[in-house]
Formats: sequence, structure tokens, C-alpha cells
Amino acid sequence: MLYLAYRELLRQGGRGLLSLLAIASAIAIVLLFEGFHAGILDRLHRFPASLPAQLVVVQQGVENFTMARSALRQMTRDDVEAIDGVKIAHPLLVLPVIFDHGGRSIPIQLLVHDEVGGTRSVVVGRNVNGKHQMVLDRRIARHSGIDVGTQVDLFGYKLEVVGLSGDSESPFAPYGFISFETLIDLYFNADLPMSPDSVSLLGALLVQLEDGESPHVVRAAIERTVLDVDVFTPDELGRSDAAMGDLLLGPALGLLIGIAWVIALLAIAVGNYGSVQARLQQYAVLKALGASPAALAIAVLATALTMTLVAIPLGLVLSRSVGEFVVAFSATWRPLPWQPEVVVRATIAALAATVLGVLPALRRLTRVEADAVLRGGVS
Amino acid sequence: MIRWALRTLMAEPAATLASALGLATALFLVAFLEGVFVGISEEVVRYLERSDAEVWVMGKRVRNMHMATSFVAASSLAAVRDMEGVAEATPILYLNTMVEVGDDYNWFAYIVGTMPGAPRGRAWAAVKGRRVPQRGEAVVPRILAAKGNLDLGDEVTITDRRYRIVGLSEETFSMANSVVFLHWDDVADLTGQQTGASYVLVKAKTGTSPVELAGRIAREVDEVAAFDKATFVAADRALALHMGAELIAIMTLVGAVVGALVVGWTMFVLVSRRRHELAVAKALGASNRAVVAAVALQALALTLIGYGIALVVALPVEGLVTHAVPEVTVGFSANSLLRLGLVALAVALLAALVPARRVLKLDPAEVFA
Repeated sequence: MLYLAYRELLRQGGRGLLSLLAIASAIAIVLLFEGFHAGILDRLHRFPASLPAQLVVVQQGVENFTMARSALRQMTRDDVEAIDGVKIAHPLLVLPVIFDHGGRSIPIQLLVHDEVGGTRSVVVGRNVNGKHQMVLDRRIARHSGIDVGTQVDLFGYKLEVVGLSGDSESPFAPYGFISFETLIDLYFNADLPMSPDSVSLLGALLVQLEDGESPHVVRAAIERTVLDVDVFTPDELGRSDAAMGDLLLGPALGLLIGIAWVIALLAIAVGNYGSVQARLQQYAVLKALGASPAALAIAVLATALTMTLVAIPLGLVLSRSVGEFVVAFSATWRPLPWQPEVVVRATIAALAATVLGVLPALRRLTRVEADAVLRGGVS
Repeated sequence: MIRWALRTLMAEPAATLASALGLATALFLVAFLEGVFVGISEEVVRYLERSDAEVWVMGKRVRNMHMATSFVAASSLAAVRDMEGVAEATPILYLNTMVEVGDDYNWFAYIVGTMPGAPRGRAWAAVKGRRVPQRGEAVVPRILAAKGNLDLGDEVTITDRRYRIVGLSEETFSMANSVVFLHWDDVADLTGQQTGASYVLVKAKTGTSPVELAGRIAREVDEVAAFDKATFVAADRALALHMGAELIAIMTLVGAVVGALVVGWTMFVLVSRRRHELAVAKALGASNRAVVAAVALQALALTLIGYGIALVVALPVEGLVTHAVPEVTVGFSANSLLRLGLVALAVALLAALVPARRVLKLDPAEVFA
């Protein structure tokens, strides 16, 4: 009977291929939607968590790196560097700006840094080392038709893109990088959309410790000594950003993912039911030829499960391909569709949906009178 | 053939229902995804839509409100007020940042500061308490307050400052940009901005064209940009959608492709099942046109049943989702539902006609061979 199932699959031709594709698509959509969720959390966590510091000092009450406005007093750097165990505190400022180029507007987070704190992954060109220079996230650059050497306009101030970064993706607003020298020039020469009295030059401090110093001890000392600041490790900020992303997008994504699961499983179940119904005539012939109901049930189940098992890797490939397509055409989103636990869950659920879809048809099959097929009474 | 087409569908109600359910699930998925996309598209510009401004004035190189920073100098504000055709010019202060609502519940929001007595720019629908906050007070979206288990008299935190909730507003909560209203001076403290405004909301005098007025303000007032409401809303919607709803748009597109495939699969399987009968009909003298018409009719009937089931399930879902997941707004529009039905029908017909074509090519003698 298993051989029969195998032959049956081969015999289905176009119909079988379409069934395979439909089941694979149903599996792919679940993997892809779950992958969007995983990708968002991963990217939100990644950049802050990789900041080159043991501790990050931000304005009191600020708990995130992405999309948070942190303003520190200028003296904060001196105060932090005066604490025992602190080797150096590098200044950092994140400015949310709308980046206009080639008729496209994209929100980015402009990260202003000194020799530390810029991109750790220049994939094309080099890092900024002076005025009038900018490093831009490579996907934003590609999306906007920007390459190394392109002149871009930031509030009426010309900057040359000297490098493209690979570690600067962020779902809400990717990162661009400039130096503090450029920022000063921007303040004086550009049409910055902010009042002179609201300008802040310091948003965060990347704290590096003396060798052997305990981050816990130094952190407590900073929080005790320096006014109006909070201190986090980069990983804490990354996790906080991921949690924020989950909070903001989680309900919508959760709902869409949930709906996708239900629809995908229903489609697999209903589709399998329809497929078995379509082959009822052939099964009835087998019954007329003496096949037992148990053997027929095994054949039907084996055919359907084999189809689903073949569809699963196809679904994996489809989800990955669509994911790559999204990465190529979107400036910000990067789905991670091959999360192991999701793949396992999708496999089990797809097989269960297949069985559930086949069972009602099996009931009908057991009731089919063997001689009816000879009268042409089964359809 | 027409009678045969309908009778064969009715002869096997379980199979027909299964096929219709297959279609319905696919159509519901697409309708729902698009509904979420439409809902989010509408809510991201709701503040701009409901602020009763015909012209928006902002910093020279600013084109948006979403994620933007804007500064209009006091002298520019005065010049706008004096401009011919301006009935009222209402300044607001604005920043976008995280608001802590309850214990460790942070939400991204527009923070809008208005002066007491400002005719526009403030909350337009309060369900509880006041719509205009005094110093140290906040009017927050009702849903946001509920998320943090807060009510009137409780506090929200913005950076390191706390504000007492005096009003709960309606229509101001969204996934991307909820709106929290503070007193002008409180936002000035938060931003450090002591002069000028972030945006100016202009009401034009009767008979003055907002488009013309916006152009004149942009030309004649130093260091500002000005847009009529429709242009500004369109620009902000495009940007906001790019940031968050683009994801939903991609998901909708993927869902639509999968939906089309499931619809195609269902129809293909259904017609393939009838191949033998169609071939017999052909052998008994039915014309090719009659066979195609029968298949098309079955596809139409089944699609309509599936579409009907999808609509019956989808329409109550709008209310259910709003109640159960208030972060998500689902907005079904008649246009998109109609478009969905037409596309589904086209896909179903196409998928049904592929196996039907094979029947047309059959030699009638083969049926009896």
C-alpha cells in the first residue's frame, strides 16, 4: 500500500504539484510571519548590545537606546571619568532625523560619535575620520541609490558618504554615523529644525573600565555619584530595545501570526480533505479489488503525509526565498524564518492538520460500497 | 450543462463546503491582513486629520510630523499670524519619545504641548476628565492608560518627569504614534525650547484657499515650510507607513499570494474531480462552450460561497479585535473587500479553466474506451 501511495503521488502530476505548492506556501507563510517577529527583535537588540563599552550612561528615566531621547549635562562626562575604575567615557549622541535623498524620505538615527562608538562593520569604504563625512547603513544606501562618494544633503548641509555599514540595521530607523566635528558644523551651518536653546551635544556615554574593574561596582558608583543619570550594560539596553519592539509591534504581529497559523492549518486540512475526495473513485476501485479498509486508510494517510513531508522543506525554501526578496527590496525589514522551534512546531502542526483533513474523508471511504465503483456511482 | 453544474455542487454538500471553506480561509486571511494595514494607515495620521488645521507650518526643511523635529522661530510665528488670509495660527510644541505608563510599560508617543485656550491641536474627544491639561498634568489615550492599569489621578512618566493624568482621550491611541497632551510649559521644559514653536496650525479665513495660503506662507515667511492639510497628511502617512506599516504591507502581499494559491488549488482540485463527468458530457454532445460555462459557473458559485463565508467571519472580527487587541485597528473598506472578491473570482476562474481545457482536448471516444 505504501508503494501505491508513492505511485499515486507520482501519478497526480499537475494537481499534485499544485497541492504541494499550496501546502508549502501555507507552511512558508507561518515561518515567514514568525520570522518577521524574530527578525525585528534580533535587530533591535543587536546594535545597542554591541556598543563598545562595558557600561552606557544615559539620562535618568531613559531605558532604551532606539528611539529614546537622552540628554546629559556637558559636565556629566567629567563626573563619570572622575570615578574610580573608569578608564574613559566616550560621548555619543543619537539624533532622529528624516533622511531625504532621491525623492525618498527615510527616518534614520544619526549617531554622533568620537573615535569610538561608530559602526563596527564597514562593509564598503571606510569609517568617518573628519568633517563633512558620513557612514550610512548599507541597505538604506542601496534603497536610496547611494554609494561611497555620493554627496547627500542633511538639512541643507552637504556630506560625503565615505562608508557603508553592515551592523546598523534597525526596524524602526536604521543608523547613520557622523563625527562630533560634523555635528558642530551642522549646528552652525545647516538649517537644523530645532531651537538653539534645545540643542544637546551629549546623549550618552560609552564607559570603558580600567582592567580588572568590576562593572557592578563602577555602575553603582556612577549611579550614586553622578546626578540625573541611569547606567546600563549594552546587553541590557539591547534587551530593553527588543522588549520595546515586542511591546509596540507584538500585539499586531501576534495577531497576524495567530491568524496565519489558523488559516495555514485550515488550508492544509481542508485541502487534504478535498484531495482525498478527488481520489475517492480510485480508492473505491482498490476496495472493489479487495483492499481492506485498514490498508486503504494507510494508503490514503501515507499519500497525504508524504505530500506534507515533501512540502515542509519546500516551505522552508520558500520562506527563506521570500525573506531574501524582502531584504532585497525593503530598506529596513529582515525576516529570520528558520527559527528552529518554529520549524519544529510548524512541522508537527502541518502533519496534524494533514491527518485531521484526511480523517473525515477516510470515514466516507470506509462507507463506499465496493460495487458502486463498478456502477460508476462514486465521485 | 448549467443545471448539471449547480446540481453536482449540491449533490456533494460536504465536498462543496470543504472547497468553499478552503476558499473562505484564504480570502479571510487576505481581507484581514489588508484590514490591519488600512486600520494602521488611518490611525497614524489621525492627529493631523483631527486637529482642525487647514495649513501646517513647520521648520524650513521639515516635511513630516512622524519621527520629526521641527522648530518655528517666534518671529516666523508672528509673521504667520499677520499673514493675509490667516484667521488663526495656533502654535504647538512637539516631541516624540517613550512614555512610561504604569510599571515598566513604555509606549512610543507624540507629546504635544498646547497653551490653555488653544482652539486646536488639543485632544478632540475626551471620555473621562478634562481635555486641556494644566502644568504637571497630562491627557493620555484611554487605551494607553488601561494598558498600564491607570486612571484619572494616576501618573505617567516622560524621561524623568511625572505628570498626573487629568483626562482620558479617545481616538488618540495607535501602534505607531499615540498622542499624549501636556501643558505648553511642560513640553518646553522637556525639550529645552523656550521660544518659538514646533508646528503652527493655521485656520484660513473664509474664501482663502489653503493650498494658496500654504504656498504664500512658505514663500514669504523666513525659515518655514508650509503645507495644506491634504499634502501634509499624505507625506506623513507615507513616512509612517514606511516605518511600521510597510511590514504589514509586505505581510499582506505574501498573504495575498498564498491566498491566491490556495484559491487556485481548491478550484483546480474541484474541477479535476469533475473531469470524468465533463468528458462524458462532452462525449454525449455538450459543446466546448457549454463545458467551459459549466466550469465557470461552478467556480463562480463556489467563490461566492467562500467569499460570503469570509465576509460573515470577517465583519464581526473588526469589533472583536478592537475589543481584545486594542493596539490593532482593523479597517475593512467596501472597496478593498470588493476588490478582493473580484481578484478571487479571477484566480478561481483561471484555476478552474486549466483542467477544463484538458477536458476540451479529450477525444470523446476515450471516455468509453
